[in-house]
Amino acid sequence: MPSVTLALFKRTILFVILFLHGLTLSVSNAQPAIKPGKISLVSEIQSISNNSKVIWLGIHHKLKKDWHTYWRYAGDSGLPIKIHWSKVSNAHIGKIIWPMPAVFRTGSLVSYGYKNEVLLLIPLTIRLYGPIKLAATADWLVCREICIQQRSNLEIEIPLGNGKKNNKLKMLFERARSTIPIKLPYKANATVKKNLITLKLDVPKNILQSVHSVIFLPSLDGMIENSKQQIWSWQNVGSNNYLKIQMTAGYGLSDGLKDLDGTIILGSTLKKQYKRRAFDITNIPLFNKTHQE
Amino acid sequence: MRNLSLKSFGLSLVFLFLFLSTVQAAPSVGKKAPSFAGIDSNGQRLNLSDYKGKTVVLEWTNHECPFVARHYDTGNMQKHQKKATSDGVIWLSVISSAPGLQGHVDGDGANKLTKTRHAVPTRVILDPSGIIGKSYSARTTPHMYIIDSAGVLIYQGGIDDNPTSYGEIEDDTTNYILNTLEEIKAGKKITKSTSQPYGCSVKYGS
Repeated sequence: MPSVTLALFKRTILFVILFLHGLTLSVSNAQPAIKPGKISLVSEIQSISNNSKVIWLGIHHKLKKDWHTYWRYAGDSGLPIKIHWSKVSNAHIGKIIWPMPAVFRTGSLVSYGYKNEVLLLIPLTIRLYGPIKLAATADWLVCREICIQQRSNLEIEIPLGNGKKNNKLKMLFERARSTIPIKLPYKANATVKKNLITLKLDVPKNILQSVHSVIFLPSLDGMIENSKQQIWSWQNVGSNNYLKIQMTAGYGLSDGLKDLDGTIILGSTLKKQYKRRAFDITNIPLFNKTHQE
Repeated sequence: MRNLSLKSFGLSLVFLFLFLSTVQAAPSVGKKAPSFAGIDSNGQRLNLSDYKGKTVVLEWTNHECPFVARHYDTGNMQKHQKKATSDGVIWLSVISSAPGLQGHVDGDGANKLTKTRHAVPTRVILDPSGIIGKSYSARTTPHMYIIDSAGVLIYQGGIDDNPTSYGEIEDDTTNYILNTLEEIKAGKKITKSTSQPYGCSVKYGS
């Protein structure tokens, strides 16, 4: 890939020059000069009604070109966003629900996250009928060749009213929801031999036939070597169809890794809305076949 | 791919990442640490085997990385270097940033950093080709490794359990390096041998 490498090299050099120009080498001094993106706390509905039970909030990132933030497991480097809620009135805040991430390669390292724009969804359960006031501090890391840690104060007030949705944000929430991984509806099993992990999924033929890319994203560090290529294939043995993903085990294997947890992203040639779909797998026991022959 | 050729199959597709990885398999704790030879900031050759019989700490570093800066600005890294080396531990700081990338320095630059930051590593290794870094699958700065006196890797991962580039090092932070070195000294079992390293990505050239 000489042209890509050259372009990347030129861009890196240009960036380093821009970065050094007019700035000292001190990172703390450099930080305010670069604004890689924005963050805001938004609500799907514009007001709370009598019928509001669970409403949806979103952490909305809008990032400048080439910058990215991170998924719940960031990969080889990076950090997921951390939100510290300081004020919550009349409601209970749920955990972040993470849309399907993209895979970023920087040199020989791999990370998982989001570029351009992303909405991290947060369910809010109404405890008492009344206006909602929320305040939080968000620590988030945003990176391209370099990383900048950001600390942002987030606030939102949702008054009492008719409970209608916020028209401007409708598409944003719908798009985010459509990319949330679903629980894998097929059987799965996993084996490991030496340091090669094989994950097999019973995926129906009609879906398999449209698949053109497959990647497994682990939930935990050390489960697999993120930077190692994954090899996938699909097979039908009699009437059984399955998708096989082979991966290199990470340091976790020698430290008691017992099962696989993560997200499988399938790229497919199906209709637009199914171009990429993500499935979560949890607690798939990892059978060690190293000493079997 | 033996199964594929033996069993009947309809169609098999193999997807390779566009960029093939050059990172080798991660070294395993409990096994022999990868051997290496390198050049230090004074232009002297060094070999991991020079330190046989000693406990060795490897610290991947990049002075422009905010995560590293936090540990040096607060004096935390220097404190641990001082404690470790006074106990006879060999502390090697490794710089794997490639020329032109963040954190790259030559020998003089590295020595200046040691001086201005009042750092006290045993030596600073210059690894601009990233060969040593990749042989250890070093991913972040900081990324820490501890090798025991028999040359066995006994810890790899983060410096502590507080992954941020902000603020003081809080009192309730668990420093894995300090704890592991204490356990070695006391002849105790190592309670935590791996953790997720955190920080900036190591700025490898390719």
